[in-house]
Amino acid sequence: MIEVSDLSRSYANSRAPVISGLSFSVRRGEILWVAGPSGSGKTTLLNVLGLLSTANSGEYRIDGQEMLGAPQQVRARSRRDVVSTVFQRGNLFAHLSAVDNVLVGMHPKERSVAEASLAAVGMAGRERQPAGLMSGGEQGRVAIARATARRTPVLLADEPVSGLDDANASAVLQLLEQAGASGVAVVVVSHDPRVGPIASATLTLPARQAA
Amino acid sequence: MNSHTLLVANTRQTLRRFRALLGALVVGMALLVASAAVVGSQVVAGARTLDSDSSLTSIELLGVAPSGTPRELTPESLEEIRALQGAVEVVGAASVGVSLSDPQGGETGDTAFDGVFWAMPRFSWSQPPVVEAASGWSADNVLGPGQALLPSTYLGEDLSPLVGKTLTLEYTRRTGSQAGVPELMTIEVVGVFDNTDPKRDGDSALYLDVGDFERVYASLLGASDGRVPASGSYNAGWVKAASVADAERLAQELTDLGYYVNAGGGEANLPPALAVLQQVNAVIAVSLGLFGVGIGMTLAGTWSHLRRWDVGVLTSLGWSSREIMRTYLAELAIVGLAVGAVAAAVGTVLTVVTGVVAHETALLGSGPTPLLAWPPVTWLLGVVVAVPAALLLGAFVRVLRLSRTEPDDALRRID
Repeated sequence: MIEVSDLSRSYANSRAPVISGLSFSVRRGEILWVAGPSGSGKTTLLNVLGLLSTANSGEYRIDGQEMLGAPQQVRARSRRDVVSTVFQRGNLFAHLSAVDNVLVGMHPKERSVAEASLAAVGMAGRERQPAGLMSGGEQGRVAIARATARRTPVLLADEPVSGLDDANASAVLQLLEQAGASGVAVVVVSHDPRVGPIASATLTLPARQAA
Repeated sequence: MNSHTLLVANTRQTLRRFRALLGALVVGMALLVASAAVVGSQVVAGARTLDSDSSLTSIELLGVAPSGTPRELTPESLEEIRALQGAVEVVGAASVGVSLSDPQGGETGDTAFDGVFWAMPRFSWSQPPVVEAASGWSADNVLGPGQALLPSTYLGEDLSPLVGKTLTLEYTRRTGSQAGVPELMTIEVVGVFDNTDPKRDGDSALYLDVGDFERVYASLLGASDGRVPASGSYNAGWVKAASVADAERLAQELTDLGYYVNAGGGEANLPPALAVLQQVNAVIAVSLGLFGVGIGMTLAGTWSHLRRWDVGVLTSLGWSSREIMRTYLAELAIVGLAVGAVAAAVGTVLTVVTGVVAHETALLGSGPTPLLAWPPVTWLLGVVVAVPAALLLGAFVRVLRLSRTEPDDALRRID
């Protein structure tokens, strides 16, 4: 499903690449745990995989299609139909309700699907509550509901259990595990060891050397 | 993508978040509408007066032309001109030398006043205004038989003391090719006119009632019945048209008939007060217009900056550039239309109130201020359209650029 080969990414203001020469693959149903210390490039890798930014070199294929050099329209379409990202900070619209936040990435007729996804993350009955009035943990769960409701074949999650207590973290990890079990290729970026048990493979990024 | 819900929520958020700036925009545009409407109606009312009363509707015909021989201005030709459509008044004119004296001064051997003038017919619509009038005679009145107007000064002497006096006018009745006898006419000086800027009639013009002038002029031509003979001709003729448009048409028609039109339409200027008012209004309109565009573009710029993160989230969810443009520009258009419509409504109310106040207090001078001034529809439509246009103008490029930004870049915004 996902094939990454010799991927490197550096920023204009830094001589040393954030990630360098990375190669790995994730098949459907697999859960890849990307671990590593802070600053090792975990989120940068996730942004490249989520088509939110590009890499400087290497190859990144989803179902055989090269994504790094793909036209903007193809990348946008892939973000909509192929890859879903759960952001570390949720990235919800504070002035929209929970269900409307989920529906922002979907067709309005799929309201029942959005509500089911919210119920799956324990947010049943809170669909109409504005995201801005929710706690960080609740926002994280709505963000996962938004990503899973879209039923894309690739699901990426950036520190999904960061800051959650064991009970909430367990619920979130269970959702990710269920996604993997349903055939979705899941990549979880986290420094939290609680992710380990659900992962089918682990990629540990080395600490980045100072430029 | 579910853009409708987001559009509604974002529109409400923008209206709430930018209410101070939007309120300023409403006030500015409403003032623009009210200013344009009230002052505009004043100018229009003044212009209507001009249309019927001013020299804009006057046509001057001359009996001689710089080249060629124009048609003579005979009593018969004046009748022909009177019959033309749009000709309200036709006056044959000439300058006839007359002398004026104070009979009482003559009786006592002490001439109180003696002077030589050029007698001309009075037609107030194209002649200098009266600056001092005898009691019981208004400057608006036309001269009656035996009444005359003198210049306010004559050879440096102030003639206003003569107002109300009865003087003797002496003119010539022609009796042969080189012979004539004096004739006398008693006149009452009912006023003096402003000759500080003599212009066409000179500084020693003496205005007579049209009938009296006919008698004086006819005598000079040798007629004893007080009527200009059919063979006689005037040096000039004045035509008063019903409107400026009629004046333009008549001038062309008279030229086509062979008359020499020396001037038609007069000076196309508003009176100074109205002209100043119009200029001030234009400055206000331009200032408020620029203010509106400035506010709109500033607001659009700030709005675009705040929406950067939102666009980043949407692009990360797979929204296309086109969907983002459509949703966010629609939001601005709705906000702009709402602001424009409210501004137009407030402007209309303000116009009516200002019109009534201006009428009651004569804020705009003694001119003909209408009681109810309504804003022109074009101005209202202009405001309704201009506000969203300014917002879209200020935001279009920013939103376009934003919609094509990589999500990661757009999301790196400080909340």
